[in-house]
Amino acid sequence: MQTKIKEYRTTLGLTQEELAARVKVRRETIVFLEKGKYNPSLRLAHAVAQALGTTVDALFSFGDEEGGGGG
Amino acid sequence: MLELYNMQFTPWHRYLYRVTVGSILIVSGIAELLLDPSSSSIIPTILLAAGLAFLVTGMTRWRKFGNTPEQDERTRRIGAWGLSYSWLLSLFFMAGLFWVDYFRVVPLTAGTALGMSVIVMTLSAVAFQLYLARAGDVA
Repeated sequence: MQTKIKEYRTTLGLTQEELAARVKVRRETIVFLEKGKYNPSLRLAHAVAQALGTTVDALFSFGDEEGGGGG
Repeated sequence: MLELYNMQFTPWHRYLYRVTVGSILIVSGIAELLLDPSSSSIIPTILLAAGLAFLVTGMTRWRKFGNTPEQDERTRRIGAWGLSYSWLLSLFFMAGLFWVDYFRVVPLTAGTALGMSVIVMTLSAVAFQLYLARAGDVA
């Protein structure tokens, strides 16, 4: 799993602590999310996407996808 | 019910009850000692020990976690899976103890078996949770 959380976070000028506070998780959870080492629940993925002003599809992708969405 | 479970207390409320309960227990223990100094009851000792435990854990958690949540979905998941792995390992361990005793490989008393089981359960739970915490997720 790859994420673009760090890109969106730094674009918005947020620290990991600030993002963690917005979505009510521990900072370590944000760290592992950014590294792609933690698979979040749909609720948390949605909360992170909302906090970063984007969508779940834009933030998360899986290795064999060439782009977001299906069809 | 889910909202109650997920409710985030402010740090002030979250740890104040521990500090308060600990202080009350300590004061109660001291009062018991002062009111009846000749008594050989163990209750003052229990009150002081329990109060100290509440006070110390409350203050250390307040210092450690501060404004951040103590738990989130990731840490709860790691905790649950760590305990599950520990339970499974402990089950195999106790099964092994049974056969060791059955075939009289090593003479075991009930106390020895129970003590060893408790140690294995505790250490394995801590070890699995530490490992999963370092890995970041249970998968």
